[in-house]
Amino acid sequence: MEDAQVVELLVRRCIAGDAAAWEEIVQRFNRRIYNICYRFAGSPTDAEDLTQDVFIKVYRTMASYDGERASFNTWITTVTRNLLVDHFRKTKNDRITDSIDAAPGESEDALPLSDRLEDTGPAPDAHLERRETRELVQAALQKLSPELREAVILRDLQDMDYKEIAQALRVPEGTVKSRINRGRAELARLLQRTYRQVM
Amino acid sequence: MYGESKSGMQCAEFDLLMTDAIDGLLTGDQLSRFEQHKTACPTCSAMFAEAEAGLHWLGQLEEVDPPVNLARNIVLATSGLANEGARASLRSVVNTTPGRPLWDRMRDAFSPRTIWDHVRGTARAIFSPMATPRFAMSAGMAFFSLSMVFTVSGVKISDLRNLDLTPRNLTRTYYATEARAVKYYENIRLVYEIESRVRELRRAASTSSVEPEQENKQKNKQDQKSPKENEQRQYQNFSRQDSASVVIATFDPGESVIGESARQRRKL
Ligand SMILES: [Zn+2]
Repeated sequence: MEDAQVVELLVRRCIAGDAAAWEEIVQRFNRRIYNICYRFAGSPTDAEDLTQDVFIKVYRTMASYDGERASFNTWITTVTRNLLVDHFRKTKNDRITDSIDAAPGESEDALPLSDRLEDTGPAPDAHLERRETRELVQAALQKLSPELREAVILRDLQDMDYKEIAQALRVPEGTVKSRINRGRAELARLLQRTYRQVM
Repeated sequence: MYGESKSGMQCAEFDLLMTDAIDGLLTGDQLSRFEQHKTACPTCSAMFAEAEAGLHWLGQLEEVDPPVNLARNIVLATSGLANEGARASLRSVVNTTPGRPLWDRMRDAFSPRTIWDHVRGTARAIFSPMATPRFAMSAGMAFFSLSMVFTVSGVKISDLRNLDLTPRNLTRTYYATEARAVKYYENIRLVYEIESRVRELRRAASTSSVEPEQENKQKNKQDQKSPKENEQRQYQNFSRQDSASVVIATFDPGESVIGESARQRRKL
């Protein structure tokens, strides 16, 4: 049996109230959802909370899943994506209040790495470690608009095909491709700028 | 000259084909037209180079490992949704439904079934590693309602005095777990609300027994001491007795601290 079929079966069992099937679904998908959330939100704690929220939502709305219209993988991506966009809107509004009542030290953590590097001037080391590179890329990803960010995450980090992404984001395939192009290009521009400052 | 070139490819078509070109999926005539436009159009060729670079950068990001307990926590959280009214009943208590009077909600909360659910909820909150604010609050609420029931059934309302019901204590766990207060603001508000009711209760119980005595004493003193001295004493009394209610008062815009102290003075 193919993977997708196995999942479909699991979903059906789960809707029928099979707890073991639900556990299997959680086991199969938590890593993927966590990674999407982590790359989108940029913080491990937020990613953990968001992943839990995604599964709670999935659990509650499982009965509305229609296997004819989209694969379960696409459907769970849509749920994730909708929660992420909500989260983004909320945190954008919270930023003002956060600066007032956030615990000390936390605000510094929330700063993208490139911002911190910009503040401290050129780094002493000419060569950045691989780990630091990853942090820079993640920080740059955070600066992309949500619609470009989600597009490149789903394509370049999650390896979804354009059709699936179009279904998950509910936009035409052409729009998906255009967003991916712009997302990648914008990311490169941001990183070039950061690197010029760091080196 | 470039852009809309002789080969017929427009920038929009180039944009549409760019992902496929990067994926290496273009062939034949389509590929040559694509390459032609790329050489001819500086805008598109710059975009292409940047997109390729961006993809390269993204390739640096590896998949990360989720926290070890994530899957288990999710299953725990969702199995909670399936089999119990605990969460639902707690939610009905914790979320302040504006329309419903507080005592109605309290009465529901203190039914034997709900109490048992609260106990289960507390146990789960303590033993599961999900130390989310929501769970910390549930535990706090469960503890609070239990102590209430025991105290009330013992008909010794004055014992409430010994309970540590300061808002700070109830909410400390919550704030320690997470700094973002906005999300669970409603929960906190209810705790405050309940507490102020309890304090009213407490005061009602104490005013009947303590106040007349105090009033007498003060009347005697008033005869003996100068008015200024007397006023000072009243302030001391105020700060000793009602220090806790000040916290509540500051939370309720309708009842300011100043109003409280003024009333106190008028009374004495
Ligand atoms: Zn062009």
